[in-house]
Amino acid sequence: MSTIDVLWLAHLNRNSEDAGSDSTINLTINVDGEDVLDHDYGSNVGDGEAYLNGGSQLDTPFDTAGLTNASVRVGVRDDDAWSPSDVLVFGHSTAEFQSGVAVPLAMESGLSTWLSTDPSEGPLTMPLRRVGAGSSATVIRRVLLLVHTQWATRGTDTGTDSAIQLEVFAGENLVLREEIANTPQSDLEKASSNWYVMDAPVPFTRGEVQAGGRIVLSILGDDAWKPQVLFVFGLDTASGRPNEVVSLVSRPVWGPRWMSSDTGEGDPSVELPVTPG
Amino acid sequence: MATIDDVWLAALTKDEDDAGSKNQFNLTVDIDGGDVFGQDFLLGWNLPGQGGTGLRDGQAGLQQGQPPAAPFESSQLTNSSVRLGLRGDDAWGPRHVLVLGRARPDFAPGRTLALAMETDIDRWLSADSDEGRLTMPVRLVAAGTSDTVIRRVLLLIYTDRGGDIDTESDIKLQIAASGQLMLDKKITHDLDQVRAYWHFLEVERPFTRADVVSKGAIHLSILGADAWLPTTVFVFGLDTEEGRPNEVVTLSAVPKWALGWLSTDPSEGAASVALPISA
Repeated sequence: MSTIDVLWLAHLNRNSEDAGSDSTINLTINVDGEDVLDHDYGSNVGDGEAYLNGGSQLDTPFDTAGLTNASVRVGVRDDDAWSPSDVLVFGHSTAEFQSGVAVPLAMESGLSTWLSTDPSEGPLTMPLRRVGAGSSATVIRRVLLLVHTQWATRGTDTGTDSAIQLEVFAGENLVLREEIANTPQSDLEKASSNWYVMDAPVPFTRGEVQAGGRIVLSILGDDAWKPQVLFVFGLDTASGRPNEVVSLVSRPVWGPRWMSSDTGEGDPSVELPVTPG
Repeated sequence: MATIDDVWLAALTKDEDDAGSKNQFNLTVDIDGGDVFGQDFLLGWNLPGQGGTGLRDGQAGLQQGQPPAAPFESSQLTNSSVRLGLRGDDAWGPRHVLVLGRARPDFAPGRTLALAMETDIDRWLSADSDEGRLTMPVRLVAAGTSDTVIRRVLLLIYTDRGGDIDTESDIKLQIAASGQLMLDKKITHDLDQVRAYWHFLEVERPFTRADVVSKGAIHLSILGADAWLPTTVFVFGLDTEEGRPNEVVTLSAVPKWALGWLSTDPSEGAASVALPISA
C-alpha cells in the first residue's frame, strides 16, 4: 500500500445539455470516520468537457490501506447541477513521485447522476468506489489518456489544432495506435484538459511494455502544442467501470519541450517513460 | 445485528449567533460504495405565519425520514458510511448529531437504535466554502447491551402541531433501577408546538438497562395543569459522562405517542406515565 500525499481529480462531463457546471466540486476522503481530505476544485468545464487538477501537497497524507468503497465522495457546492460521466481520483506518494508512479484510488464510469445543492435537481454528493492499482501482469484492454495543455505564456498559443497519436508497443508488437482528433471535446486547447479512452485491439500488460516495448506520443501536424501534465492508465475491462487501473505513464510535470511536426518548433514524437514496477 | 427499515435524524444547533440555518440537511448512508439511504431533512418547522423551515440558533431538530428504498444491515456500516451535509449557503453550526435507525420486527419489535453520533462538534457546514464544509462524517456508535453501564441519559422530545397540545408546565423524567432512583430531572422550559428538544441529563449513579428491567421503571411526569400531548419521546443511555459516547443504549423509544395526555388535572390527563422499556 502507499502513503498518498499528492492527489489528482479528473472527470469527463456527460455530453448532454447542461451537464457542465460552474459549481465548485467538493471531494472528501474518509478513513475510519476521519476526513483525511476535504478539498474544493473550481472545475467549471462545459458539457462533454474534461477536467484534470491536483498535484499539490496534502496537509494530511493518508495510507491507501485505510480506504474502503465508502471512503471517497464527490459533491458540488452550488445549484448549477453537474453531471459527470466518468470520475477518477488518483494520487502519488512522495517516495514514488520521482519514479512516476500514479496510484489510482477511486473511479466511476458511465454515470448518469446529477449533483446539485438544489434538492429538486439531484443528490448533494455521491460515492466513488475504490479501484485496484493492478500490477505489471494485469491484462489491459483499454487505455485512458489524461492530458492538460499549458496556459498560454507570453502570448504564445500552447494549444493545437493538429492531431496527436498514441502508440503502445508490447515487446515488438504494436498493440494500440490511436489518432486523436476532432472528438466531442475541445481537443488540446490551451489551459484545458482532455480525457481520451481508447480500445486496445490486442490486450497487453505493463510488464510486456517494460520488456522491450514502449509508449510513444506523436503530433501529426505543425501546429505546435505544449502539454503541461500527462497521465496514461490501462483499464482492465473492455467496457464499463474498471476494477483495476494500471499506471502506465505519469508526467505530472511535462517539462520544457513543445511538440510539433516542425522540428524547429518541437519534438514530432516522444517516447514516454513507462511506470516502473 | 439489525436490519434497518427506517431512519431518524436528531440534531442540536450551537447556541451561537448565526448557527441556525434555513437550508435542508442532507443525510447519506453508504454501504460498500452504494448509497442505501440519501435524504434531505427539514428538522425544524414553524406554525403558519411564524417563519419557515430549518433550525434556529440553539434549536433542536428531530425528524423521521422516508423509509430507505431497501432495508439495510447495520452490521455492514463503517465509520465512513454516514455523512451529513447542507443543501445551501446559510451556514449551520451543529453541536450534536444523532442518527437513529428502526430495526425490523425480527430483531426486536419496534426497536429504535442509535447508528451514528457526534457531539460537541466544532465545524460548521455550508455550501459556501468560506463558511464551512459541505459535508461531515458521523461516526458509528454501538447500540450497547443490557449490561452497558449508563452514565448519562439523552432525552429527545418532539411535540407536533395541534390544539393546545403544547404546555407551559414543567415536566420530569425519572428512572428507577434496582429499586433506586437513578435519575430525577425536571425540564423547566415550555414545550412548544412543532419543536424538538435535546437534553443530556446527569444520573445520580451509573446503572444498566438490565437494572431498569429487573426492578425499575421510567416515568415521564408533568408538574402542572397545562395539559401536554407529546408526539415523540426517546430516552437513551450513554456510556460516557461527557463527550462522545461509544455506546448508546435505547432505554425507551416512543416514536408515535399513544400514551395519552399529560396533566396534573385528572380531567385532562395523567400526571405521570410509565414509558415502555426497550427490550
